[in-house]
Amino acid sequence: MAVRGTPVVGSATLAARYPFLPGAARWIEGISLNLEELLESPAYAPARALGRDRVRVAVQDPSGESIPPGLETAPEVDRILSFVYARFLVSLPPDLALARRWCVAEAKAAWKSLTRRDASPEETVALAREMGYEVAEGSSGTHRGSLVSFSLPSYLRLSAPLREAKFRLIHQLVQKGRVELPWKDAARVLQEGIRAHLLASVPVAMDASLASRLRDREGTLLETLVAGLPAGSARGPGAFDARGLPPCMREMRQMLERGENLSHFGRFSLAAFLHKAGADREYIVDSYRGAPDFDEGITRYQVDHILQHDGGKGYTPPDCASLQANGLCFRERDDSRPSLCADPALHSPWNYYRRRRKALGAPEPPTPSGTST
Amino acid sequence: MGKTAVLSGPASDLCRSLFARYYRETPLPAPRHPEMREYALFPFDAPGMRRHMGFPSPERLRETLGSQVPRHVYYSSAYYARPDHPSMKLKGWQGADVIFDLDADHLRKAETMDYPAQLRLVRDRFRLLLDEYLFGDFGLDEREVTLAFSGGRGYHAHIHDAAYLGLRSDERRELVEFVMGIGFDPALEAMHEEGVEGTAPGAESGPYGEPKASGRPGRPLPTHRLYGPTDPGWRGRFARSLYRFLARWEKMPAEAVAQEIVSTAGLPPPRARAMARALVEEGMARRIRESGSLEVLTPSLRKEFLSAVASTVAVEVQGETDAPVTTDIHRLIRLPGSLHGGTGFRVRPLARGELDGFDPWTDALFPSVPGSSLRVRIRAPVDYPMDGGLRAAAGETVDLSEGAALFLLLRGEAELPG
Ligand code: SF4
Repeated sequence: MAVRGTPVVGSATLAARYPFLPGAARWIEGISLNLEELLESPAYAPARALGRDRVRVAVQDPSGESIPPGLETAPEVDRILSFVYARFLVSLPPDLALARRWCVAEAKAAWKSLTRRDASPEETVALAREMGYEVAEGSSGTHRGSLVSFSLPSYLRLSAPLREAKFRLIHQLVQKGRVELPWKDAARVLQEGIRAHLLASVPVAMDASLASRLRDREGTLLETLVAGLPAGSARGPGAFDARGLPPCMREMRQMLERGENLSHFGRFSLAAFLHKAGADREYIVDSYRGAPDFDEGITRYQVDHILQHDGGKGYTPPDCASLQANGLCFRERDDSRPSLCADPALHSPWNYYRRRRKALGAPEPPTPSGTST
Repeated sequence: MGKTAVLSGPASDLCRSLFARYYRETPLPAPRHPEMREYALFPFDAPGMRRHMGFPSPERLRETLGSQVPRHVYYSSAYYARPDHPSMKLKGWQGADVIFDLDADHLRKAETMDYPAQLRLVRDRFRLLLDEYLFGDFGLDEREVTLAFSGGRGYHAHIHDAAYLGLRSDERRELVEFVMGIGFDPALEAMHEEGVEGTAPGAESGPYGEPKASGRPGRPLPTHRLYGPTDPGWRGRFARSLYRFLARWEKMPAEAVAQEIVSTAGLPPPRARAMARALVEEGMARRIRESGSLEVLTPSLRKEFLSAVASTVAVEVQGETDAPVTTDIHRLIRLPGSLHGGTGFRVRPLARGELDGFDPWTDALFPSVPGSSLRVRIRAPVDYPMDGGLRAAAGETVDLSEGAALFLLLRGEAELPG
């Protein structure tokens, strides 16, 4: 393969750019960093400030488009340690909503970095290798651009959770146990691997006194950040609450999770319902990830269409009669007591959701008035 | 297995004593990490199975088989920390071999065949599964795959390459769907839409009848160019098959080609005839093959060609396998080396090189003591290629080798006289 862009980066640079790599952990061990120091020492104040920004930016924009100010120009040591600090921060709240959002943003940022203008396929290969995948530079095709070659099991581990039609094995260039992908697609499947890898690393184990000191110091910031999460990511007042989902919507989501096919009407109903219930765009898109034909671009386009209808009010979710007519009523799975689905005055899944939330002691759900993208 | 007779009385005792002799005298090949597998034994005299059994060593397993003499022996594709724990959750799953199971039950066209013909068909399809997919596209090392005749109507491939053992069910499903060609759409994936740079096609043909490169580099190839036989994955496989079909059709009468298209692609006969005439009589098949491109077809014919002819072609190279077996990461499967309780055949481990000449009727038959024979009475007419050709009518009493007699008794096709 022809060498393009920058040469393969040295390991400290790679660690600064991709601080979730095991190499970064080794690097941290190498400088024998004391956690107390990272939390307290004025020497690490810039790293802590950057760490806070990493989380702040993730909450504001999980697309990976925004970069914490100063991150790119900061010394490598601060970049690596800011990541370590950010991971401590997102590990503090009792639920993982903040951590999940941060993992998505960090993974997307890594993808952006892997595909930046002066990046090279070698960097993608080096990163994938560091993460334990069996990867090599592929053959160079004149019309295909640079290819990255994965071992078949590595490719399966990375691509199967994506469930995107484009990445199904059947469509790949499989030969003698290798799967070759255009470099940018390789970076995309790695992004999923990075997200999963990050998610598996939170919450970070901390000793109790360290955690309580960190909470004292960063509590206010964390509260603001958690409150800033869009509905669906957090369980704040009025936010989307999956506990209130009626059996039909629950089953449709599970069908998608199990990789079963859901009719067009079912998909539409679920998105319209989730939007009305206050779930955010990412949450709704995520609900479709399991679909056998999941395609991120198409799903986003369709979800946006539903969300933006009528100035952001969205479509009215169907009533029980239409769901029943489409074989999508699962009232026999109603586990609310007394059974809400059995009430002839129910009429719609939306009524179910409102009543159920009331029974669970949550405030009335708001009806969104603007787009929640 | 279709017929498995319920046995009782002296027939059951006889079969059991033959199984006992086999397990006492035959060294069984141990599976990888035998101490991490769960075992399940089906007794001769009672329904159901005893599962959640574990053995610290192959010797202990052998002793148990010799003393309990089960009718069927299964073991787990999975490796467990505590294989004998009764709770699946608490067994401590450590990984699982990837199993491909090909059985006549799952083969197209097998239902109308008799047992010997089914065995031949399944062996051919198993060869395709191995050569095209497991050892072909998947590039597996033969040393990392155990092959076995199942003793019934199929073959198993157990992949124990370390890189595969941790795959989850949805990841294994991708392998299965690849083998079965699920989701491959020739209309979208058989050709390049754009003209591409490359070596221009020459007049000569390659081994599949595809155009051979002329060696003049850099000239753009025509649009609607088909992928080549050596392209990776399904593109190449499809191209190989397509060129084979075209080369064959060129030599056939148009009417016969039309019939083939009707029967596989389900195209209405008049459309199929028009297509066949264009391909054969107007020389389109040859022109497609020589140019490596569908540009010679009009757009509407191209569309029809891709949907109809392509589906005919794809079926030929689709692998077949029992999908749920591969995706199940806790599967129990017959232990290679054990005996199949419905036939008495050995679940015979095989090397790839042995498969071509493998004949279950001699190579997997229960090992009889030379010169010994057993007298049985035939209950239904039989015709099997055992003992040099076994044909007998209902009610006949015949002397057979132990293996042949065991086969018929276990299937309920014979009984002990008197
Ligand atoms: S009765 Fe209505 S709310 Fe309940 S499952 Fe059926 S459609 Fe959904």
